[in-house]
Amino acid sequence: MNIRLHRLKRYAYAAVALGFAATIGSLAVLAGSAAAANQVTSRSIGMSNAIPSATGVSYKVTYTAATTNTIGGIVVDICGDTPLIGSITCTYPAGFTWGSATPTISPAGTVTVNGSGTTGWTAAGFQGGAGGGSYQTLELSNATPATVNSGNVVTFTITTATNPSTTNLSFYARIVTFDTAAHMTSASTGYLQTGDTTTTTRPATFTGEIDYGGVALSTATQVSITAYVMEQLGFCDSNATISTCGTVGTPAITIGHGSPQILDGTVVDTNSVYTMTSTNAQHGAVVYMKDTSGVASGCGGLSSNGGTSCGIPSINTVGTNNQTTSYVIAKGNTSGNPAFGMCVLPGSANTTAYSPYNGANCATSWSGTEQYALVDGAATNSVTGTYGSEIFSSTGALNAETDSLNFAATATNTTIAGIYTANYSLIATGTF
Amino acid sequence: MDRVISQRRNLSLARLLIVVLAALLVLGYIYFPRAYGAQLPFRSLFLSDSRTGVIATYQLGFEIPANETLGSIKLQICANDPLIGDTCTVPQGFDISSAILSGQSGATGFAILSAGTNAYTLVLTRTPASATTGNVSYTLQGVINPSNAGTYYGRLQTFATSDASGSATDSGGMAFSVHNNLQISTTVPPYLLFCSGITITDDDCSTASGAYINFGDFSSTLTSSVQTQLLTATNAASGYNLYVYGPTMTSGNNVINAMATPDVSRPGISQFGLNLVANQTPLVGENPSGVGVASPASNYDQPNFFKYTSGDVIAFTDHPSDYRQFTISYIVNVPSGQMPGVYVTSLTYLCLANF
Repeated sequence: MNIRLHRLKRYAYAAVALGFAATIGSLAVLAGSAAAANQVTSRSIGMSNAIPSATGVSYKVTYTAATTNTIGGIVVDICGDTPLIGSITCTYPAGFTWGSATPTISPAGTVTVNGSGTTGWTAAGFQGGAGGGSYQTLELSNATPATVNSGNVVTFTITTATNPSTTNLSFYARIVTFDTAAHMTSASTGYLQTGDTTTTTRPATFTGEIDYGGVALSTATQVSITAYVMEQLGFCDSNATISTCGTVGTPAITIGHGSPQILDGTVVDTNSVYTMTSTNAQHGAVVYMKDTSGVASGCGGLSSNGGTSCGIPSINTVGTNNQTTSYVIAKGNTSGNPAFGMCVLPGSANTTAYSPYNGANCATSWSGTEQYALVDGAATNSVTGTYGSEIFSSTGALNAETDSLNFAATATNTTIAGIYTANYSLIATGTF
Repeated sequence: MDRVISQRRNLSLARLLIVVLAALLVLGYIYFPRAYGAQLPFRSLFLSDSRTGVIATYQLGFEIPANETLGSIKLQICANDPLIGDTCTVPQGFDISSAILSGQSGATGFAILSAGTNAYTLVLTRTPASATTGNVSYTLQGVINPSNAGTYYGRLQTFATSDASGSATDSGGMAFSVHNNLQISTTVPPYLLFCSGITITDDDCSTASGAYINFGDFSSTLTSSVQTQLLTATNAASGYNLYVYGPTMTSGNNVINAMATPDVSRPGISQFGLNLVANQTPLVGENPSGVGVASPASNYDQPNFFKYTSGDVIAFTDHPSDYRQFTISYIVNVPSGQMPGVYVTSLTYLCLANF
């Protein structure tokens, strides 16, 4: 039996060292006396904190009664040597205390029996071997004993305990229930008899004992666990709606109508590019669009000569397509101006289009009311600037956020024939 | 015996928990923090161009969280993760070693420390000095982006020393994306609109009507005149030239002389000529109309002066021209001895666009 107990201590020690404050129960315990007494089952003491010397720790005592009887007294004695009821010593685990001479029960005065609270309980702390100011032994008393049937789950919580001061210390609790408080507290036949209240000695037998059981507990070094969530920024763009960034191809679109597609002044043609942004940036992400035609000055709009000039210029508040009151693009044959612009249609409220890409009625097709724009030239936030033009942003993290960049263009009868292109770099930046 | 069996069951559970926790530690799901300082807030890496393999400007920004001695800043770009201390997978094609520090704000006075800089690591150095809480920014020109699209990570650390040695004061990770360019294209097809008729209305070639016009009887005392119309438009970059071809009016071997040089109408003199403007003598023709920019060629643009030489350019433009309608005025004068007969000619107009 001694060999078994040593092995048990070793495994319990290892488990709690990893931060588990839960109790390893079901220790082998020898009854102290009272032939009628039985060992409680499923017994445990749950600690709210296993850090050495932690104060204000809640000890939740739980056990399943083995005997049907009224219970007027419950003892929980904290020992450093053994959980064996009947052992005539109960060494004091340094630093432990139930808190005071009147430890706090939560809920007040209540011991729960099979899910129902029984009231009228008072808690008393006894010094035992702890020395002045600390309390090794807890006794709960009730002048009106509660009925407890075999198999009932009994639970109560003391919220004022202080843990032993030794790190990774295994210590034990001895639980003994009595039929009456008087039997429990009797100086001659109770749990703490004459002289026991201030020493580590304990009686081998008691009168009125109903059930008993031992529990092992342990303090443990606090383990700090940190999970590192990597900074992430995923961004992709495509000429088709995106379900995952891993499957998109080169984002290239053609604006026009008919077959083959052409641009003229009879209609305003549209096409869309879709983006997907995922980031855990705390302060959100910003997406910029920059003209990468390769020409130093850049034209911003659609060019047939590599960006040297914009045959189909962008619609803006300055320049040929000056739109001071409205960014609505009219058919080129009606307005007399070729035009090119873009609006951002956010996929959700998580992203916000930046002005002037937030024009009214932004849609993937043109009906004459949609507003488009594209900031170029020397203007602030120009696509030809060093970092391009801010087109949309978020204020926080994004999860597979899809946005649509809707481009629109029209030509006129005098728009020089040719193939017009624009190349943009979409730049996503997260602020972590 | 029952008590012993119960004890063994509980001990097996404890062993299982130990094994599970040990496995989590080995697999790295539980990470024990390294002894670094505070995390740098508001950190970002702003690229001027996110295309693969291009030279871009990188703007590094972050906030110094508390007053500290700052002597160096280390930025490392990795393909695998932003975890400082972890092995860094060098991004293929990325090169920051030739970067130029072109701007700095907040904590200033930095230069690039060549000794600590390589293709994927950059160290900014200065004489260690106090840095106060606030935003800082450093602009690095001439950074070559990774050659493959994807997400890349920045590992950022600040040091009290000038050479990024010793323990970092603060640190933080960043992420940025490099990907393909967005390409937009459209085709404006070339076109040349050209039609002729006695009349054309509303800039619409479908309304052109008539290809035969009769002067009636010629008179030696009165100029005969008629007019036809042409409508042109093109988006040819260099515009178009409008030519006229054909003989002068003849009747067998009898000829009405074409006006080789511009001249006014002279009744009694054999003349056949045309121009493209409104005339008073005789009262015929109209000036060009429409939003196009093409205009009559010299020799055919003076009111009351007419000319005809086959193959002449009678109108032109050097630029794309929207709808432009020309009215061609023809005059015929004959001398009193003009041989009788039916005089006819067929003129061909050719509009040649220069795309």
